[in-house]
Amino acid sequence: MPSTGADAPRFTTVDWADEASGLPRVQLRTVGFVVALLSLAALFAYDYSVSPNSLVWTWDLTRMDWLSLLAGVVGVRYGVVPLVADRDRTRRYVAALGRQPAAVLSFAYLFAFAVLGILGPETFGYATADFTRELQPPVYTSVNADPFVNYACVGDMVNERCHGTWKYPLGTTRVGEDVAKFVVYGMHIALKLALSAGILMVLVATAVGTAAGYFGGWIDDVLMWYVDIQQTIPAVVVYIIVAYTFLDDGLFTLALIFGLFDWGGIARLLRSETLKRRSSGYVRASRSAGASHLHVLRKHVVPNAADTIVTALTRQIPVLILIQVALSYLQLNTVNLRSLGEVLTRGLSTNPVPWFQRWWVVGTVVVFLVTTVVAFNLLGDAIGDVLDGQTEVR
Amino acid sequence: MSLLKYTARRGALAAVAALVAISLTFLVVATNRFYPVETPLTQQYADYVLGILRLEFGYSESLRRPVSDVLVASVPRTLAYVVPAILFTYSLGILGGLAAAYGTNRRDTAARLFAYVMLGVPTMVVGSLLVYELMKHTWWASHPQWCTVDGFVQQCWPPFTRQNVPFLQPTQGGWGLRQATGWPNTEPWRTINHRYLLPAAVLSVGLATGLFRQARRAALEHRASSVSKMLAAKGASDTLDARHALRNAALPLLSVSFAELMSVFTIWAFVVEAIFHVPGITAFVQIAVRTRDLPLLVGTTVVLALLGVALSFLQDVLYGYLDPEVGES
Repeated sequence: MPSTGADAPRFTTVDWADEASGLPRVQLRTVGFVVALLSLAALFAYDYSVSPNSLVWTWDLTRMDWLSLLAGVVGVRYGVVPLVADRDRTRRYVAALGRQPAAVLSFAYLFAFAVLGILGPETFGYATADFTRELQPPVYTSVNADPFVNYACVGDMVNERCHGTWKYPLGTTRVGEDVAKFVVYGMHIALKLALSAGILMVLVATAVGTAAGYFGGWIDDVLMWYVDIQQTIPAVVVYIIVAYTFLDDGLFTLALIFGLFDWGGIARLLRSETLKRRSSGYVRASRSAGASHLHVLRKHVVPNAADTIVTALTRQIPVLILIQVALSYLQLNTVNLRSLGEVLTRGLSTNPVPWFQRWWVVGTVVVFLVTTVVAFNLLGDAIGDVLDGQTEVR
Repeated sequence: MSLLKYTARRGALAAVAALVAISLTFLVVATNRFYPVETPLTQQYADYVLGILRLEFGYSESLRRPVSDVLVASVPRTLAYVVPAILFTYSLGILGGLAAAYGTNRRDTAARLFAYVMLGVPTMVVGSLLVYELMKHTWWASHPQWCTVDGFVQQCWPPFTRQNVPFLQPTQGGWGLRQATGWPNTEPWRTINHRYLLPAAVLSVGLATGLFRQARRAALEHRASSVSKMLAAKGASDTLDARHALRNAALPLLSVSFAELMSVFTIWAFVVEAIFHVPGITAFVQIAVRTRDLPLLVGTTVVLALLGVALSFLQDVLYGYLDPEVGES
């Protein structure tokens, strides 16, 4: 925020004696980050050695949960904390985003997606088979009950048509599983995958991309060579090899492989962004004031590339979610309960009735996927505009 | 840098990438042996790499024929729909992007939304619905989730996944450990024919979005430039202006988009081959995974990775051809 005449200049409020003292100042956020990481490590050690079957009561964490928690801590430290700490800037972002209705809608949807993904499965329960409740239509719709054998309608039967009820707002499958609960569980899976693979990608891509762009020379050559080679081998192929020879075909393997092998595009974008900023005024000023390379990278180069990172993530995450659905459709990826891909396999079959007589199973999954993809992309467009505009003004 | 030198450099990079892919699969082979091997590891590695260069991939127990025979038959089938799909994707994305950028504001928004929606609709839904519709009219489209036992169509539960082997069917006799399994009803796809355009079209639907976005942005940037203003002042039509925009955007479109496409392309290729019963490479990857056939898995994935390397190299050469800086001395 540029200072107005009424404010006292910032350097008059800084305690220079304190700033110049030999000890490096430790920020509160660093302490919090370290404490969070250490407690996570302690919890993991406790879970691993003392009580391997459950952490608290019957709650047992899988390695995917641990990876998501770790990614969550990193995400809070580098995503949420800077936004909370610099309220002026956050307010400006919010105001700029608020002027775009599409961005507000997308953000609201993604926020609901995240909250439901974390709390939903435990709150609403998991989808279970119930053969007395099969093939219920969604609320406000009806279905011709004639072709179904041994059919029990929960709502009203009018003229051989079963009407949907609020008990199953999105209907049920042919074995009576609640479709709404499927979708909530799908959000849970997608959130865990997006968080852990996304944070892994960003960490590796930021390190490689900014180092290559900032230092140039042989470092740049070697790193970009590696990225070139990595990008020619599709991550899906690596996943299949690893899943069926070394690890298992679970979500952890998927997040790990895509997090570690699918960041080439982001690294490239960050490299060209860094190349632009390397010789800019503030970097040269900082260097001539005696700042180290690491300091320049951390304080100037990476924060200014935030818009690139965030927009790249909003492109990559929906694709990741789609890849997970496709892999589980092919039964090359399994999650604890049914994932959306498996729902699609069953929903698209003609057993016992053609798919369009229970259109709500496939329809709900498709609507969910389309909404998620559109929301991520529209938000990415808007964030690119907002953050980019800010950096240009400065 | 001359074009020749540039091509040689990219060729060297492609060779290294190929070697990396082969070495990675050697790791898999060396750590998953069923029997002890006496020769030293370096000797094994050299034999393995040379074997692959001679197209010796071992013997597939589940298919009861050499893996190289399988690959020779399946690689052309995969390419038969991948190459048209790449062309479809590029033309769809670029034409759509230009149409959006040169259209009215409302057409632009509509095109952008449509592109995002198409990205979100999974390929298996589009493909399955298409096949269901075609089944009523043609003989060669068969049920995407088919299930036969001893030649009789049966209701399988879970759908088409007898004994947890999705999409696979016994090729002769009943089910059992020693029974060969394969894709069902592959006759219409054994030889390469015009039908391959259908999976190509389905494959390209969801892939064009990234290209669409880039083409649109590039065209919008071009329209804001003074070159475009000058062309308009001289009375040039939008089509001519768009050609200028396209020529200037060709390089970023080619370089960024291809690597991004690769991963998505592979996964949707798996889906398309499963739905249309195309016996291509990804089909055999699935057979290898289900039957725990390591030589087949290694052979098919090496070839998939090498295909990626080859396509990237082609893209590099095309880039060099289009880049004015490369031709200069």
